[in-house]
Amino acid sequence: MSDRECKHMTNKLIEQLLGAGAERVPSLSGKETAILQLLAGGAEMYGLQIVTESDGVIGRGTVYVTLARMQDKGFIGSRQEAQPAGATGLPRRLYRIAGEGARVLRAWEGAAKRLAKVFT
Amino acid sequence: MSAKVERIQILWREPIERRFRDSFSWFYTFAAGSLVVAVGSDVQRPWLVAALAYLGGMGLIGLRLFLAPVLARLGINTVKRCAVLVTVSLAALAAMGRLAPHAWLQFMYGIMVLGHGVMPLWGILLREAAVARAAAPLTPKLSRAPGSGLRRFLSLFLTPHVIGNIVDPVLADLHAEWIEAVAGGRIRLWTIRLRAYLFVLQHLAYAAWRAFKD
Repeated sequence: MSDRECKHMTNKLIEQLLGAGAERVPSLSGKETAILQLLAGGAEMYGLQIVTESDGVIGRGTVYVTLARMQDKGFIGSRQEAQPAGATGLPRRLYRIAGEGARVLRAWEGAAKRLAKVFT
Repeated sequence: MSAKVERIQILWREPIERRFRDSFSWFYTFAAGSLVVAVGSDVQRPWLVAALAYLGGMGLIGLRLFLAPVLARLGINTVKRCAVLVTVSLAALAAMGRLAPHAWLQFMYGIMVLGHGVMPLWGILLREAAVARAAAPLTPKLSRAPGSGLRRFLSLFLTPHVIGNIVDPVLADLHAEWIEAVAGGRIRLWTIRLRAYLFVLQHLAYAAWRAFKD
């Protein structure tokens, strides 16, 4: 089987696992999934905190590009932290999961569970 | 926030009085440098060269004195630029044959040796004033935070979206790390700055690659 055929079959299988006729679910990369899983608890996290807690899945040199792209897709939201009076330096940015991000994560986690059932 | 970290954040604020005191130190260093040129130079009119060097230096100091608040707001470190301007102008004079090649070296040597000799004297003379100044509340005067130069440079050609979402968060991490490192008594702070700069470049390269891939 060629790579192209394999990819086509995988996509078909994923579509079936996500549910036929269901609303199209955007794809998630490994890094995006890891970030959404970290934020899924509802806690707000700094970029550096995400890097530390991801156990090497997300690199410090790429985290903010990934977060910015996820923010553009509507998966996460962010706000600048409130600085105490007299503090200098740039305020850090806190990231939290958005409704769309939670929905996509649930859909893909459900698909993964169904896929696991198929193979067991 | 701990008291130590708060104190370190205050260190980033420089009282205006200190800027004036430093400027007067430079007054003496330029005077000393000019004297060395006058005594040791073999040009046609050594006193004229010395006077010009002195006036040039003082002109720059005067600029620094009176424009200090404006320049500080723009994030320009005037001491370094003064030193570079004087050195380059003297080197240019030497290259044009207006100044003996070793005369500007004498000038810089004079600044280094005599200037460093004058500064402690100045400190002794103003000891009482310095004690009173230390007791007085600091005049808030923001100096440059690390990475602000890089941010200004990148903002010349990057969009506010990229600056706000990619560059600023990396620099905010740099500031947080910087404060923690100073609180922990770390001396080699340049490694933190260098790492942050490399992370900014890595982010920009990754963003470009992602955009190309899409």
